[in-house]
Formats: sequence, structure tokens, C-alpha cells
Amino acid sequence: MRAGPLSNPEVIQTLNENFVNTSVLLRDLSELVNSDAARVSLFAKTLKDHFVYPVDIQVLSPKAEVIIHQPDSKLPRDNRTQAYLTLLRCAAKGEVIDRSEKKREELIPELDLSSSNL
Amino acid sequence: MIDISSALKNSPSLKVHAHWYPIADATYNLHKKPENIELFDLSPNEPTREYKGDAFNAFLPSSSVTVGDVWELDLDAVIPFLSQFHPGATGKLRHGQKGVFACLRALSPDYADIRFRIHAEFTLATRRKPGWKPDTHEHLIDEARFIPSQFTGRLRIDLKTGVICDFSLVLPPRNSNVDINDFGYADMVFVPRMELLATPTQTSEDIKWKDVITPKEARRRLELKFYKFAEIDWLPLAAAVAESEETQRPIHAVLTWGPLDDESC
Repeated sequence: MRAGPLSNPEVIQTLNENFVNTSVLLRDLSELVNSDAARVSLFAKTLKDHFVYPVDIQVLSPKAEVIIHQPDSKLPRDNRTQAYLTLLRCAAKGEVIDRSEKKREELIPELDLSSSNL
Repeated sequence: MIDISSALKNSPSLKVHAHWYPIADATYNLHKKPENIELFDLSPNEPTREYKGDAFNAFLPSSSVTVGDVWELDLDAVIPFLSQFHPGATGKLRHGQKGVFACLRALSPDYADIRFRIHAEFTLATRRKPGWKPDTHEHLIDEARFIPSQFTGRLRIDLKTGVICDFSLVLPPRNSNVDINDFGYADMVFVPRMELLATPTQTSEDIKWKDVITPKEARRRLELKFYKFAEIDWLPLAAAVAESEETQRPIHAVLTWGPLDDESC
């Protein structure tokens, strides 16, 4: 993730302009769930309940509703950055997308079988 | 602009002490497997080493700089410092973002304060895989490795005398700060202290700096040299929750098993 989509200038700009960004260690989540601050606890619980190993991306609304759930392992192998950018743009518009259960094949764009590729 | 490239020309030698505490916490306790206990029972190769003053030229810029400037260091000149911990020190990382950079944090007519960040690892042992021959590729050799998240350090120089007033090189003590590998399996562990330290003769509070940036800003400038993604405005979760409530912007969260912003995973 960090050397791929998260290092893309367009992704960085989109994230800085439209989102509040945080990275959380899985091992820190339990402590955050037990935080005295109710809102922090709520967000931490939502993140923990949905976590998919080993790297997971979640976009939550200001009310802690899951807008986007995209485990890193289920990002398409090709065009990862473009796929990520598309997800973020959907999230910025409030579209709800859950990629945590779908099979990998469903996430890979359809093959172009036009003559040039045959 | 100042040229401090020859500031250590007449620098006297300096004793540096190494401290390396045992692994205090781990996710899978890989280091406690009976066959790994000796491998990960680590302590400094040389608890004390005397360095010639010019050895610290490794951390100086080769040309004029101004406060806040960042420059790349020669890994071959820096790695010998890490061999005080273990002879298997190397800057050739198998994975991740390699490199070593320094930043001029503060300057006065008499003193310069340099901060640096190193990405390196230690090869603890090697083992040949079945089928290994003398001329085969290195992928047929397994390594046991100790991969610190990063080393950060500081070097403070008396510009008038060339004396090094302060030197330290530290593994930051966050709760997951080393990745260990035992010929195939990996674990994230916590090492409370891993540090090279010379006894300081001058503290920062004693010095009236003329130009200065904060240690936090110096760390940030160094981080940006390693990671493009550091340009993203990251906040701790609690601060992100407050910011989201205030701005009504959604929270984009990256959840990881190991830290995102260093080499310990």
C-alpha cells in the first residue's frame, strides 16, 4: 500500500482534501476500544469489528458508519492506484462499498480480448 | 549557508557505549522457541568502542547547508557504527525503504546540531537451503534477521574546537519496533532499548541557537525523504475523530499489523 496507492500524488491530494486520515496498529485497537472518550471508543470498535488481516482500509462517516471497506488483499492486482482512487472518489460522494467478502475475480477488471491483445 | 564539512578536522576521539536490552514483548513469541533462544539472545558486539573524531564525518554534509536542509549520507560510512551492536549490520535491506539521511536542525556561531535517520538491518545467521552450490544465487541461502523500525540520532558539534558535545543513535521505543525472522517465520517484537550513546558534555538548553527548527520538524523532514506517503496528513485516531466531527469529513483509516511509517513490518 505505502509504496503503491498511498504514494500516488493524486491519491495523496484526494486524501488530504476530502478525508481525515489515520493509521492504526491492530495491537493498539483494544486499548482504543476501551478509551474513556465515547466517540473514540465507538470508532475503534467499528474498525476492530471489521478488520481483515493483514492490511485493511476502512472509510467511516463522521457517525462511525462504514462507507468503504477494502482489504488490501482484495484490491485488484493491476491498476491498484486507479482502483483506490475510484474508491476514494465514491467514498467522498458518500457511496457505500464493501469489498471485504467478494472474491478476488470479481475485483479484477474484465480482460480486454480485443485483437491487439490476442 | 554554512560549510561544516571539515568541522571535525581536529576532533578528538570519542568513547561510545552500546546498550541493547532483550526482547520484552512479541506477537508470536518466535524468539522463545527453544531452537531460537540463542539466536535472539542479543547484546552489543562491543559494549564500548572508541571512535576517531573523523569517523563522525559520516554524518556531515559534503557541501554548504542551511538549517532545515536534508542530505543523504554514505551508508558504507554509517554502517560501521551499527557493527558496534552486531557484525551483521547492513544497509542492504531485503525489503522496504533503504537509506540514511541527515538534517541540520540548529545552528549558532559556536554549535551545530544534526539529526539523522537510518534504515538498516542485522543478519544474525545464514543457512544453506537444499540444493545450494557455491555458484548458486543467494535465494538459496536463508537468513535469520533482526530488522529495527529505524534508528534516529543526533550529533552536536562545537564548531570552534571540533569537539563532539553529544552523540546518540537510538531505536525509538514504540511498542512494536523490530521485525525478526528465523529463516522463514517472522514476528513483530518490542525492544525497550537499543542505543549508542556518548556522554554529552553540553546540553541543548545551554546553547542559544541562532537558527533552529524543532526536533519534530527535523523528524518530519527526514521522514519525507524516505516515504512519499508521509505527505498525507496523518492524525492519531483520537485526533482524527475530533477533526472528523468538526469538519464533517469522513475518516480514511489504514489498519495494519505492523507500523506503516517505519521498517519494522
